[in-house]
Amino acid sequence: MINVVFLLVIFFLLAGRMQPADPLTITPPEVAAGVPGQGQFTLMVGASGQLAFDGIVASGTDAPDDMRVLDALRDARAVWCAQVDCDLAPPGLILRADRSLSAERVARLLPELAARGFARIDLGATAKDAE
Amino acid sequence: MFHFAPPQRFRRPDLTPMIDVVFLLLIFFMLVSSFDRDTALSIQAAGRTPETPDWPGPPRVIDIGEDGAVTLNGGKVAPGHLAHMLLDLMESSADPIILRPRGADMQDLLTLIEDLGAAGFGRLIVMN
Repeated sequence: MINVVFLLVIFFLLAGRMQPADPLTITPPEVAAGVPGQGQFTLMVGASGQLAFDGIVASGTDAPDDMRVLDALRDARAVWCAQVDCDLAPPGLILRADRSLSAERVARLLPELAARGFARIDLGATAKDAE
Repeated sequence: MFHFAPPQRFRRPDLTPMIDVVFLLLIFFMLVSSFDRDTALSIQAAGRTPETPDWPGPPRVIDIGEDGAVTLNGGKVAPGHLAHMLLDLMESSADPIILRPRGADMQDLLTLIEDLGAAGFGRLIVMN
């Protein structure tokens, strides 16, 4: 039995992935296929539209709330670009939005993100289970 | 005569504490690990960039309504014919396409992006 338990421990060590809990509860959209998102930063948009980035959670969905999170994102990008040449390899952004969120909300965010230096954005999703 | 102490039997080490620890480790990793299979689909943000080229060909604007109903340049699209209608408007499948959500949710948007990606259209611009 101990051998089996050891095997289980090793399985969970290798197969599982540890990550900090998300500040917002997000159910990403389902897609059949996709590649793992490539981005140094992850911006989250909850089902009710509030933003979250790196532990900073907007209290509402008004423009000042958005700006606070987006400015934190811009600052984080500036810190990153001080170490890495961002003209050569622009940092990516993963936008994890809830599947029930209005897509117009995300579409309105994109120019703000482009203005902060993120031209290419990966929309986070989860792989659909094979049927 | 000497009286030696009776020979001590070899005692095996007690394994119980180690098993307890291993069980604790097992429970820890079971609770902490996540098996979400995160993926992502790439889009381009609408915004003025220095290298924005001129728009090639006629306009290609897809409006996504509620429940993923799409219109191309304002006209209705028969199901399954979107890719054909788009190709008629394009010089190559690398030309950009504009997606405008009009009442769609993120699931509708990503389903459409995925379908267009599977049809070979890679440059998708989401704007409002």
